[in-house]
Amino acid sequence: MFGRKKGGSETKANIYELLESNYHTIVKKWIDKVYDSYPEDGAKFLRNKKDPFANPVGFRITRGIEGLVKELITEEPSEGVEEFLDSILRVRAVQDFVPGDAVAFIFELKKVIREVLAKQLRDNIRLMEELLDVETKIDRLALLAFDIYMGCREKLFQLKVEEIKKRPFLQLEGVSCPSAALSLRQMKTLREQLNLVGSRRDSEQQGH
Amino acid sequence: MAAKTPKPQELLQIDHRPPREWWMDRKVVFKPGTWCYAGRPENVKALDLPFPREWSPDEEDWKLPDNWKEIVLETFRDRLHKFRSLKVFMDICVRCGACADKCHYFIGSGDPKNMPVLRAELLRSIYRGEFTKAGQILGRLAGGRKLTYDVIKEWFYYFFQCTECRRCSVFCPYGIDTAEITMIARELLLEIGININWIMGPVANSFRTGNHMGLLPHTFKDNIEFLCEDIYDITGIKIEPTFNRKGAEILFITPSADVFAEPGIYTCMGYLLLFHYLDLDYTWSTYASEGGNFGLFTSHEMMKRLNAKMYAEAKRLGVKWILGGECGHMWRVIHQYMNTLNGPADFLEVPVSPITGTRFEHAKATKMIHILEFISDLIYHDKLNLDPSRNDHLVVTHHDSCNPVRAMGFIQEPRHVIKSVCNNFYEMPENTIYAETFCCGSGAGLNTDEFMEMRMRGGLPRANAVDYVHKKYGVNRMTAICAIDRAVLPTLMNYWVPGVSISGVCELVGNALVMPGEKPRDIDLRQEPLVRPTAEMPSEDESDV
Ligand code: SF4
Ligand code: SF4
Repeated sequence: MFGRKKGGSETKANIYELLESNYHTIVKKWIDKVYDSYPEDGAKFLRNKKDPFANPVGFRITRGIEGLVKELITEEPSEGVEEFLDSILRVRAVQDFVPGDAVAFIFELKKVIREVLAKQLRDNIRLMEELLDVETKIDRLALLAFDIYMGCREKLFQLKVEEIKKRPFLQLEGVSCPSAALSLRQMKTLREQLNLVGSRRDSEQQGH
Repeated sequence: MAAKTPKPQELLQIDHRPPREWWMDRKVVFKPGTWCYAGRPENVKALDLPFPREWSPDEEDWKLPDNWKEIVLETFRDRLHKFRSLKVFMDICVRCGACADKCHYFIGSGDPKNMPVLRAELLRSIYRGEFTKAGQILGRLAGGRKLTYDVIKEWFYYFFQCTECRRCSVFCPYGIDTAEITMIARELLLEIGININWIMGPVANSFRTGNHMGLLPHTFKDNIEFLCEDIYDITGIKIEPTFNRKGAEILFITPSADVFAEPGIYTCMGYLLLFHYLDLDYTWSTYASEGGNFGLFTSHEMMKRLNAKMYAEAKRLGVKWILGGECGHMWRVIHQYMNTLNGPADFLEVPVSPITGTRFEHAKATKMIHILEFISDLIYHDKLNLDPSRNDHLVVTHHDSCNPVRAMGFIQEPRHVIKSVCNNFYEMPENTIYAETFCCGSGAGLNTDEFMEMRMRGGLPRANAVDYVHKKYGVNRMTAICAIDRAVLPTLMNYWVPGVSISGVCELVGNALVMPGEKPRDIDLRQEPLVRPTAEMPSEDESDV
């Protein structure tokens, strides 16, 4: 790659302008990389089925990636970033990925940008420096992605616990006697009343 | 359930693409969240099923009987002989792929073995490899393979990742029903002691006490009376239902979850209000206290055993016909299997509505009709005083539950009722409703918490369509006429579309029904405030209800 004749390195545009003019290529390549993380037949379906209701995973990935690239080229990312990350990570948090693989697609963006802008970046120190700035942003994006992924996983645990707690008494181990279940229900009502009394007392005390 | 931390060398691997292999070579990895716990020995024993033992799918040794292979092949041969449909399904698939991308589990996971065609191929390849000449000689070349221990594990994994929803069969030009293939595969596994506890438990309970929860008669009765107390608080109407009453005209049967678990109990309050309004001559039964039939997910024999209880009770009580509540697979069993399993129910009469005189001819074999066709007929004859504005706090969409819609074509009746009892109703996109409806992702006995990841994957297509109407029209309530839906969709919504609650249709009926002698209504059946209360003073009760 090095040592060849210079080409395209004279560009005056800054990195963000370049990203913007290559928006569609970047989006397409990045989406392809995300799809590559699925088994072949699955990836084929994700790629080809365009109806958002027949292919919700593809839809959410596309929506997320398009949004993220837009955010990246606007220099100052907005709060929309979280929504776009969520669009993708909420899906990957329940699929067959270890945590690293679930968020790894973020780093693929670096590769994509270097590939797409290879010609312009060649021997252009200014652009290279600007690229470092973009890559730092991508690193931050990855951290945020991990937070969101963890949030989804925590939500899953919480949903499991809630279901177990809501599970009718008789399916719980150890409570196989209906009168025990009934007295549990009465206890629950009692506890709720006590809580009510308790919270009323608290608010009264706060009033003093 | 926690995802395993990868090894450093795995982390450093740059290429995240999964390896490419022929599907027959790919061994199943039992990741947490994608499989259900094994049937407990006491439940298996209670049903006289073979090989009760402690075992776990994620362990290497499944403690199978020594002659497991013989048993499976022998049972397979027997079923091929018994069910002509199975033989046809094994032979005629042309692998056109029309069904391939129609399964919610494939759509949500991208796992090719969740394509219906490949799911069926798991069984079909053994059929070819063990029973057909071409397969025995040519093996893989003819799409055949031999039955091995790993195949058994693969069957367990993928046939308990199928909710028997039949969406795929809607698209198959040959009418191949992958759900029926799954049912047979589960039957084969059952013979060597492989099943899941979330099915074995409810089946054993139903067998023993009449319902999934194992509620004994007085508990069942007490719970319905609790609901009547709540109804009294909300409406001022006192209801005193009867139980096991001989000579009643109608026996009412609904899933026990309606009696015991949120949000089904609000649907149950709707039933109670309606029957009181009509002064219907009906009775509950504490013996036939379950509409659901997890036997459907176990074996044909078990489905028959559990279904028989409903009819035995109808006979014992001497009722004329049976009215059924908002259940999913109960209706599949009634509509598609009951008549050949336990029918015809000659000792009952063709259902006739005592209010409108409508004769429900289509139920002449089973003598059982759905509560929503019963209500739809009442509304058609203008027999109900309804105030739909009492549901104005709700913006409603309707989820077509797989079994009523695909097994009995039950599409318009629920919609007729919903549109008569509420003012804000919006449909989800058309390729996600009616016969093309997406499964909740938790049916066929897979509604357990240890299966959560898979449930969230499988439920994504449904949730995605809800998300659309939630954002576009502000939908905040989805109705579903299936007890499993009512149990699992709240969790699904909580993960994908927070802000949408779930209920049965009869809950909305209960809200809208103007009861003679009721007190002014300012809250709905969930005790949440109405938009336009009829009470003089708005409620000041802010307590957490
Ligand atoms: S019956 Fe439903 S869950 Fe089973 S393969 Fe077909 S679409 Fe998938
Ligand atoms: S649509 Fe029918 S014939 Fe075509 S692959 Fe699926 S099961 Fe086979």
